[in-house]
Amino acid sequence: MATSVAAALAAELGLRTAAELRPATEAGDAPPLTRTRSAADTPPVALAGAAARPDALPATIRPPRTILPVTPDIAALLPFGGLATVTAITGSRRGATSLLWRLLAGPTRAGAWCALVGMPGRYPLAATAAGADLHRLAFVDAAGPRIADAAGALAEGVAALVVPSDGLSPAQARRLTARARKGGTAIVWWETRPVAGPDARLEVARVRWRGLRVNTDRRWGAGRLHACELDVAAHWRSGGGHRARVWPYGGEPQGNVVELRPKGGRR
Amino acid sequence: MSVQATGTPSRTLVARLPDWDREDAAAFAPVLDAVDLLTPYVEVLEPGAFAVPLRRGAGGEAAFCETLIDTVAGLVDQDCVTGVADGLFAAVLAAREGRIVPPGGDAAFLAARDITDLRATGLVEPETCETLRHLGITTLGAFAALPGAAVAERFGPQARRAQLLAAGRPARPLAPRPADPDLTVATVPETPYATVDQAVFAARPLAERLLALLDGRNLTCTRLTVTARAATGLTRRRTWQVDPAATAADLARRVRWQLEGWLLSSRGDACGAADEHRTGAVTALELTPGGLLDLIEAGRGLWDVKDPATARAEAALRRMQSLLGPEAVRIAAATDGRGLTERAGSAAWEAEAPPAPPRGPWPGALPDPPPALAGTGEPVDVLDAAGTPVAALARGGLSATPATVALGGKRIPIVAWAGPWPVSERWWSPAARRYTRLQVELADGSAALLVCERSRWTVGGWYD
Repeated sequence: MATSVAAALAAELGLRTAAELRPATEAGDAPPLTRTRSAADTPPVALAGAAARPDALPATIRPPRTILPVTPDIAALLPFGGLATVTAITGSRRGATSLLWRLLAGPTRAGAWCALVGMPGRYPLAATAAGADLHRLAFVDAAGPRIADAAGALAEGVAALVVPSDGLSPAQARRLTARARKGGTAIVWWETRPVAGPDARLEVARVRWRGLRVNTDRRWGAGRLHACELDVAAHWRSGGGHRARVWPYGGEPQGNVVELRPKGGRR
Repeated sequence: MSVQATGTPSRTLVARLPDWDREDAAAFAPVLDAVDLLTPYVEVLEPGAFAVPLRRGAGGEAAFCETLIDTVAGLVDQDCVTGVADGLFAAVLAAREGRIVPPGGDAAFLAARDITDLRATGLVEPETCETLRHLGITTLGAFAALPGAAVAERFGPQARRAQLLAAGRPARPLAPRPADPDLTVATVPETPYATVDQAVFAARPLAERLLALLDGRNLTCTRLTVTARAATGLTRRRTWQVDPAATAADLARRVRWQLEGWLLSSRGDACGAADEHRTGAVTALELTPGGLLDLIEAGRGLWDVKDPATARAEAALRRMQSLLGPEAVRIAAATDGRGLTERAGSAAWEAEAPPAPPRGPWPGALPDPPPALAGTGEPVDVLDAAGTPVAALARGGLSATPATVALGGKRIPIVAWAGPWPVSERWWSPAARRYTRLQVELADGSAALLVCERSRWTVGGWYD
């Protein structure tokens, strides 16, 4: 039964046997939706490479296996030019949710599953407006101790996992990070309590809402809120900071695409 | 499926077994199985009669009828009469005398038929046919020639539909046979299952049996209906969307979630009753596959879109569902509605059908970007410069220029604002709703959408 079906399938679809396929799978280890690091992005990942690099990373940080693509405005803020390993977003800042949706826009558009654990009250259509694909965004209802259970179950599966940091104890957070690094899942901490050592910490320095007017002495106010401008500061674990201006909902004025101003800092 | 999809109108073949016992539905299944080998789309009209679509212009209709009659006669040793026409109604009538109506000849064929044949539509009563005969309308052609509005007025909409059929208009495409009845697997234990564990223990081999059955027919299912019969006589049923590649363990897990919910809720109902174990006991368990797909078709879909990362992510989400329950993983989507909360629907992932996509433009809905946090609904006061509350007027304006917002005991000045945009929905029905919306930017840098309904302001959502 089953074997004859398999044989029929193989014959109709022109499949090869597993033995023939093996070299191909070994060569292309990374899933097709993720972007593998190219030599142009960062120095090669040879064993000697880490020591030879001028800004040598601590030994614990290895280049991540999978880097999820992100939109160009966000890419300037992340160390590997894409979403990887551990990122933190300061949740107390205004505009942080918009930044989160913009961050997830790239991965979900590329077809990678992203999950939000224990973050109620988020309005999903704002994610659509920021460019995320809701078909690839799972909202997991969990509260209290179940957040840790849920995050643990998802840590080695979904491509990106958003977890509020106060849902986990520091020890649980460390375990989760370790598992995520091993499994190639990108963790995004929704930082309601500071977490130790994210690869990048994104903080909305300033948010400006565009479209509303002062409308003095009017009974009917003209205008409407049509865009928002975020000044985002990124602090990388490897040192150095970056600032970028992000327009999560579009409406960006011409000629001001993405302004990347690397700070002198510790370079 | 493809019968409806193809643009060209198709021909319909109806086969009848005149001597078939009308009550004997179960024995008819092998006949249908045999016909399945000739054509995949079979609609069962009644036990002893079925319809099959044919492609127009394929030719060889007579030869196909011969094959069909031979197949059926060889299987059940009964006479079989076939009729072919463009529409189903004409084909049913043609099958009474074993005729093949030429393409496009439906109207001419029907016009000469006696008016009593109208009953074959199943839409009119014998009395109606008798009345028509007394009115001097003795053939279907004469009936079809009557003005449609007059027929609808005199005999009602059913007769009007019957008139359209009598005029040779094709009414509907054939509906292919749904899940084969014998694909349902069931288990009836000697002692009812009182606990979930007992039932799930039985569900696993049941799911394996179902998959083996489907596998043997080169099929896979995209829906699974779990039916449980309780000792009280209650039957509960729920349909799940399942992955075509689901394993027996996946299916058994669906059964487990289902039973957990049912047994718990029935215990809750019978709280305090002496025989509370009995009320929740399951006496029979049935699994019915739905949305059957050819295995090759299903596999093609899988290999085209599912890469290993997606498969891994979905496996993780399913594991999560088994931890926190199927309702815990939700997928959101835009759906019909004007208000913020109406516009966003959500459904449990794979357990419920996703919300329907918006069918209309919904004028009056706020354009993007929407607030990022919604549903808090905290009460708020909008005050003017003098500190008196601002009211939204019936004509769509405000009673004064808003200057501050009082929220939770704090007064925050308004820096910029826009609106109000009034909405008046369903004024004709008891579900009528009137509200107005105002966007404000506050001095502390936050921006909010305020909603005023029944002269009370609340926060509809925060821009964040």
